[in-house]
Amino acid sequence: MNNVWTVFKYEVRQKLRSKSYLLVTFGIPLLAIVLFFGYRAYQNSREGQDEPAQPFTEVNETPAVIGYVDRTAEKLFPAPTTYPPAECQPTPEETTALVASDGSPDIRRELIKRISSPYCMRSSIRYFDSFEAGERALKDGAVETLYVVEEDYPDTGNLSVYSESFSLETASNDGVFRDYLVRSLLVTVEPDSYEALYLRLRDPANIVQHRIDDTGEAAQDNEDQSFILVYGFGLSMMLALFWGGGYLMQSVVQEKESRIIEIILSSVRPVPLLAGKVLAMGTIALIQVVAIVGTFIFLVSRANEIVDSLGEIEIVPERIAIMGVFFLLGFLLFGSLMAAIGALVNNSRESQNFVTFVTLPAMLPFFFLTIFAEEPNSTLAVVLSLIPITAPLSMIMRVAVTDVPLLQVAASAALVSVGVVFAVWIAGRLFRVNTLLTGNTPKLREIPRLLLKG
Amino acid sequence: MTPSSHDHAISVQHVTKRYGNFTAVDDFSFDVRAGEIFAMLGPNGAGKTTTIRMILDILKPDTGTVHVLGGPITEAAKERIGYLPEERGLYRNVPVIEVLTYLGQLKGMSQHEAERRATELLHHVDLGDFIKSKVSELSKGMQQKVQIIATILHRPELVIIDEPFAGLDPVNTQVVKDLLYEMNREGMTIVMSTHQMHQIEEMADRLVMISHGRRVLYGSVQEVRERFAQNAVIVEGEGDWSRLDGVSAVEVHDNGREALLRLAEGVTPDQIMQAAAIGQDYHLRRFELAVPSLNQIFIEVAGGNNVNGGR
Repeated sequence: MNNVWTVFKYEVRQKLRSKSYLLVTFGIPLLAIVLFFGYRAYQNSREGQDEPAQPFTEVNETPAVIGYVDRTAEKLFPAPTTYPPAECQPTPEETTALVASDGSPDIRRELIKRISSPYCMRSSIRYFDSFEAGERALKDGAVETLYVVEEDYPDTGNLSVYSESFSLETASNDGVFRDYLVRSLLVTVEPDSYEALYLRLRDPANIVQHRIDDTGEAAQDNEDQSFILVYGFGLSMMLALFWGGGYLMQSVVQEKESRIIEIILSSVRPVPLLAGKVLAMGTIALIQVVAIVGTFIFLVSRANEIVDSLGEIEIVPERIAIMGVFFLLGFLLFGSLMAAIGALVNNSRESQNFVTFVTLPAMLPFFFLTIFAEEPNSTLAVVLSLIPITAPLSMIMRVAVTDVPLLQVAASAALVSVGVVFAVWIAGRLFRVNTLLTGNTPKLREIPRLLLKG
Repeated sequence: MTPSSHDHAISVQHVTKRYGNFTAVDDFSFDVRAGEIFAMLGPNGAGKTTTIRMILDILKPDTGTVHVLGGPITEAAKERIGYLPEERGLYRNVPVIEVLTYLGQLKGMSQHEAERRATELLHHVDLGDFIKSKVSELSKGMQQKVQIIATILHRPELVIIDEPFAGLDPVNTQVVKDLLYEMNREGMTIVMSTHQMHQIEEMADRLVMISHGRRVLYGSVQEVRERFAQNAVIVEGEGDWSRLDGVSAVEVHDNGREALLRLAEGVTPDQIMQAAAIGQDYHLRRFELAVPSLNQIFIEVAGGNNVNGGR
């Protein structure tokens, strides 16, 4: 047991010192954070610079891509054209004064009041008096995005947004429409409704995504978020599993390659050695998952400032727990198989031939990413989450987006556990002195004999 | 012979190991006495490494018993053994001190103790400047010395070294030899397996030779050599050696100075020496038994003229 701990400590320490590991584990998240905040800072600085010019440079020239329907009792948001016409372009004198930043407060106040009128957004925002009319325009392509200001908007800020497809362009419409809401609220604000509307001015829109499918039915869904979740969790987990398994294999192969294995085996039996390595590489992979997935969750929670729909992603603790269990099972499964491969081969190059047999089936669910995002409870997704080799990744991807029936989670966990027992048995059979100390890599057809002979 | 006898560091009794149809070690027995330097020799593929691995519990014998340091080998007993296999290396990209500390810890030392002793031994073998260097930065000879240190770091009672001097130049060979003598004087039993017969002649108290998995020679180095001594003497001096009573043939060496006198049956070297001493026509400068070198014995025995069962 002491030796398991000694092996564990040594392996963890060596790995934590490896430059490539540090780069992947901390370098990539750090780079992502830097890029993210760099982009945001860049955006902010641009917004800051463009602020006085934005109303007349951007909005007026944007084609009418946004439609909206107002369901509030008070009809808080009349059509842009119903507002008093205003001169939305500053006069040359005003522009000179603004650019030189010496415009008198009066000029400035007057200009801002004028160009921030909802009227100035008439060319990009279209009003529809019924949802049906708006939906028709959406399907005809007359508008890209349709917003519905819900009845409970004054209290909740609830908006529904409908689009035919998700893209960063449609997502950026949220910002434009938000701007329109603020402008309208500023004009229509009445003293007695001031308090509620003040709150709305601070948080003008709480958007729920919808998609109009081919049958024209609008169903509330979270597919865009789902895709991001499935992709994010799936990819992180897959990488961490393969990395962890890969590290384990590498550490066995290195000991064989450097010929220190026999010296080690004169102090430690193969099983405690394997146990120490599995625990160490599991920990190492877990650190990697925490760093990468943690960054992912953190950035997603911040991303609503860039792409609104990302801000809506909710990460449920129970689901994280299920993912943790499947990550652990997955690691034991792949780790054992990879250690077995390490025991068989004599150098890293040879290991590649064997590794494909494990990684290819394990990656299978990733090829069906779209199915997992759109129909996480479809037959294919369910079947893949029950086959031990594909289950860890499949279950993690399903759990990321939907509530998987508990029975399926339990059945899958049980089947993967059986797989783990089998994989540990294989690793135990191959991680033996005869295999570890032999100078030759066995041929594929010899492996069953190695497994079965006493 | 009592296997668990306390004056035996190792007792191997009737051990057999098979790989499929191939018998690597066949009913092999020998003892290593505590505190001695013992040599295992034999041609390549004779079963030396398999035997050593069974002693260390890396492999299990099919039949027979192995007792080490007073009983069947246990994990605790392993910590009292140092082993340097023939196929050996170290983690290449890890600093020397860390590899040694790790190997010491696997042998039950505390981290601090392992570090302290490794530093001390590295200085002892002139590697004090390379404590923090990566193994890959050391020359082959330096790595060899680090491996020897790894073997004796935890002050084992028993050390088993396969080819201790492979890859070492004469200066480093002497450094390692002195280190081993020093440890042996402190009570460490040393088992070495080597093809360098002159090292065995110089260092070992006793030896066992294995060929095709079976024991072919066993005993003290001197006994073995004498057993292989022909009934002949080597002389240097003047006189007509063929006329001496009891001499059946004379072979003069190429150098013209020394001659090998083969003795008639029943005649002893003592009688020849006596005859030469009293004979007035003889002047003796050198007189010795014609004992073959271990090298000659090795070639003779491994070449097929097996002495059945050793002793």
